[in-house]
Amino acid sequence: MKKTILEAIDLSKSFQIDETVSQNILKNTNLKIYDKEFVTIMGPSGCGKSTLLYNISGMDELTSGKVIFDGEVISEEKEKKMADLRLNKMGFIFQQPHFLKNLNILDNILLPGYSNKSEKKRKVRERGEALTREVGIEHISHKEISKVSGGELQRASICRALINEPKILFGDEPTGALNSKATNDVLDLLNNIHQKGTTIMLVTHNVKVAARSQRVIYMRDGMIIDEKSIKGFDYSEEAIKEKEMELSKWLINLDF
Amino acid sequence: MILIKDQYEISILRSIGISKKNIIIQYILRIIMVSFVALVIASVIGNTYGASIVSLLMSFLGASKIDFIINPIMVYLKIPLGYMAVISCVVFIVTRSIKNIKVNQVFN
Repeated sequence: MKKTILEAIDLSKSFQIDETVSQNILKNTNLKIYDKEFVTIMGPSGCGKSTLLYNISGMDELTSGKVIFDGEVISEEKEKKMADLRLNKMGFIFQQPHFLKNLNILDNILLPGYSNKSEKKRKVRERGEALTREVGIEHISHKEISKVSGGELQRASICRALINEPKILFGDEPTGALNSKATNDVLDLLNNIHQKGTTIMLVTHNVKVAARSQRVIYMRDGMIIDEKSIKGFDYSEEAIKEKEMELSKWLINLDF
Repeated sequence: MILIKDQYEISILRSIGISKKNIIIQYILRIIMVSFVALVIASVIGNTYGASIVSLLMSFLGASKIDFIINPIMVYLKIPLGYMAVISCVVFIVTRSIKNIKVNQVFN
């Protein structure tokens, strides 16, 4: 029996458009994510996949439903507790890298670590430097944000997400703004992180990204329609091609 | 106003898990540091030039020489502390609107 790390029960989210009309983005969505799993969520634009991600990670407020993370119900927790969870147990990567412009790359990466009071600064710094080496950006770690390429910034934001050794890493189209070389680098990195034991949940349009995961969830109109497991940890070029073919067939049948 | 200018930074900080309370404390510390420096400069200038400037102004009204009688506890302790308490309260009230800045506001 696999351990569940994140569970969403009957999630609903609706946005009030005007006084009488409201639009349901999520409709009684149920989702389970297991520990040390790499999941991607796919679906057409506007199907609610980003909304799902923001709601189960506690960045947005649900209309109704329950989210259980690491054995605790977090959907009704107060802001302070959620900030604490985001700091220590969750990591986020966004489509566009967002950094504080008046700090250099390394300081941006270290910031969440320094905010964690239970840790020694020296230790955080060592870990941050090790992370930048691991993702291959140590040569730019003292540069300003504006002087670095998008791919490097995205790798830096992965470092920042991992600085407090989170249990789960959320990504909203992490490769959406990158060229294909940078995309492959970032994906290789995510596969590495996953194999070291971090749960990853990504939202994506890209079959290339989904081919790296273990399970793909397909959403349409706020509901989860289908899911597919992908076997094997072979991330060589041919193996990925094959997985992409398999996924594409599945997606065509789902009318993607 | 400060908050509108800073909302991008604030939502980054909140997304990486820095609490609202922490951000408010940062704003208060920032303003206390600035006003502390201002108070030091003001007391130095006040002690060296204050009496002569006031004398100059007052001489137009007929008072030719004015000396300050300074109550040190009042001037160097109570007023600065009161001043800092007031601005801290103001900053606290103003920055409470951080709660209106959504965590994922700039990311979509």
